[in-house]
Amino acid sequence: MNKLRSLVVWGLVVLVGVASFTTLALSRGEQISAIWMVSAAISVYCIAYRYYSLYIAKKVLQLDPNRLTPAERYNDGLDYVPTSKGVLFGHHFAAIAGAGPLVGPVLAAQMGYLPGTLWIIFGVVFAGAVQDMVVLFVSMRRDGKSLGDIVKQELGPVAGVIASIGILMIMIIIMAVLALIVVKALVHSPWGTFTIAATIPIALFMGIYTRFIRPGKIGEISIVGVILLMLAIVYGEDVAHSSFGHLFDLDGVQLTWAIMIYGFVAAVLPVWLLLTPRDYLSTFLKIGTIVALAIGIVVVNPTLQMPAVTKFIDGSGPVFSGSLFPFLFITIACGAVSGFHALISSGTTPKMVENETHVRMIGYGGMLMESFVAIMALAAAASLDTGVYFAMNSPAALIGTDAAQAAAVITNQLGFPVTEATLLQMAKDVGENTILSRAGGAPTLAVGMAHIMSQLIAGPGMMAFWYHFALLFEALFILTAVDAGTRVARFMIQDLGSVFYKPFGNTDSLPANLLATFIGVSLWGYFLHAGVTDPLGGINSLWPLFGIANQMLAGVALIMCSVVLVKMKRERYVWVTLVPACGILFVTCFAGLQKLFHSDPRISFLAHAQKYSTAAAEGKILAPAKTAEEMSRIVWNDYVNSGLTVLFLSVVVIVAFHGLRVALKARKVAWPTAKEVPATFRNEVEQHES
Amino acid sequence: MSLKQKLSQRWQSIRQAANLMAGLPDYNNYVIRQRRHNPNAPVMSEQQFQDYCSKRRCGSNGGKCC
Repeated sequence: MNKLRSLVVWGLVVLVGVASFTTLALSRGEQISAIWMVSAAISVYCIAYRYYSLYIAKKVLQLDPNRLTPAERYNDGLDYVPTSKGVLFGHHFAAIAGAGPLVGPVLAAQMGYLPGTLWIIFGVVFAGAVQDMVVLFVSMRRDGKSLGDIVKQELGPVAGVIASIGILMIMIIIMAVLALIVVKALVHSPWGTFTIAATIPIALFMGIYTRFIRPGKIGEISIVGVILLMLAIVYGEDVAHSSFGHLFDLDGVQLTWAIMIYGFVAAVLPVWLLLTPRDYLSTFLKIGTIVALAIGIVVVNPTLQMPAVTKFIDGSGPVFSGSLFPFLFITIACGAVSGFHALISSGTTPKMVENETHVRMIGYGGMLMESFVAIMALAAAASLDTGVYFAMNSPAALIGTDAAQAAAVITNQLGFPVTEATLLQMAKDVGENTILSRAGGAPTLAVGMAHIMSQLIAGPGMMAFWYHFALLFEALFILTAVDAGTRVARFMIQDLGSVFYKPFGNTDSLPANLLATFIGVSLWGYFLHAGVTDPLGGINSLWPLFGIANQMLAGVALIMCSVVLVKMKRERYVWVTLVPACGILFVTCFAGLQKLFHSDPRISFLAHAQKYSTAAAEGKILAPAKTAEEMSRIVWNDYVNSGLTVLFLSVVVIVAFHGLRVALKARKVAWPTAKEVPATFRNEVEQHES
Repeated sequence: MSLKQKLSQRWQSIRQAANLMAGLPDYNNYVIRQRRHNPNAPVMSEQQFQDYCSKRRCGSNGGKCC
């Protein structure tokens, strides 16, 4: 009976999935509703979770409910806390979900909604969720060791140091590109800038409250904080139009300096004063907004305006250049597969797992959830007016800064009809001076969300409120990630620096602290400044770099997982992590090599540098540069970016080489050589205690 | 168990889940664990406990996702 019921239920799930994919893929010309995207994703997630993740849990990892987890063995109520499955799922999801799955899919929407949807759904099932689950498992079996330490332990010290340098570099690039998104969203937007600035005094107030007035009551103060934030959004418009509104009307370079100074101060101050309360706010706001967006998409059920596939799959797109393969797989990193999750899955989560079997739901299930967020972001972007989408995401070099000119270019050159009136009206609706060239994904998503949410609650009059709400929510957790990342980078720099000068590693020393923080901020600040002043818009060059870095880290994590499986004598199942590892490596290396050696200067950093330096030598000025100085800046940025690409590629290649060497060595011996913490079993402990 | 007790228990677990999402485990549980392991071991005050947790969250192995 049970068997029959399961057959019927799963048969239905398969049917829904097939119907959704057929609708998505075969609709040509007519517009379909976003609900098909959502249902296609959910049905695949269900099937993958029910069957594939069970296979991994039972056969590949052989999760043992009787084997004690570190949380059970050490249970100190502080670092090692056995936590129920649902609660830990929430904790883990809150830690992995960030701006990445919201931004990447929005950028990738230029190729149409279909390629992005397929990559997000199948990427997560076969690569992303597998990576998160296996890394969580590997770290849990080693008392919650971090990714860098596991690589060092299992692949040798050289691979460990190389991986640690790679991790530091990827963090720097992530902070720069995230901060760049905030800057792009806030340029000459006094309303938005005011609401972000208002989070600082609100956080200070919250910090003092939880420290001195009612310690530990973070729930009540977070509610007060959210209400204060809402007031800041509502009255932000009045502030923007008031006599001191010009104070918040900043250009890109001013915003860059503001964010850098703020990041430095926030990382140096005691964490309880500024960082932690903002962390509370951003965490709760993030979860709330994701839930609201899900309800919005299901209830409002917007129509997808974007075609299934656009002509830009050939690589000529204005948002980012490069053809579908490999650049779609680089642009959408988080949501499909994200190397950064390997850091989270080997952070605090493995120390809190209550039972080994929970790894399946927390690791695999948590990543499916993040992928769902990416699908919703893609749906929100694809349901925008296509002309508006390209107006917001194309660089000023292409569409100019004037609505009439932009409308003409988008209609005639890009082939998506849009009128000047539409663009002006949209800017007016969301309360901005202009919506042109607000690249970076966040503003586009904000318009998409405002479009959906204003149909759900309170009508078109509230569009501007929802736009600024969405902007605030993204900027808030981006800035929290940047501040926290700066602190993490500080510790890493002190750690690396102590190799050369011992006292530098002392984390209690104020001079060492200030110097390491200064180095950290300068590193990401450099790339941020270069991105903001880049005449080509910055996102164009920094986002692919971020994607390559993130996928490279995923490659390193999956190689480590494969080596551990071989060392555990589970060679039969190694394909589960080895196939996605090879796929990711192939895509990353292919994209990296194209970024270096492609003949098209729009794609390759080196060809681009060549083109501009040749022109500069002939005394010519190429658009979008306006001066000889801008010309040389473009060339310099290109060389820095190519250097980084080479660095990322060599990290992957070196780790892969060491992985192969260690795996071959492990195959020669007949017993498992993985360095797990010795197992203790539940019944043994019970016997011992009785 | 009365409905009121059930609701209050439910509320407690939601509160704990929300606190943990923000990186703060349950303080009472920590004190109980410390006492059980070693009755003479020093136990952090609630404020020290909070400080430890927030530092850990932004520490060398903390970090947030993109």
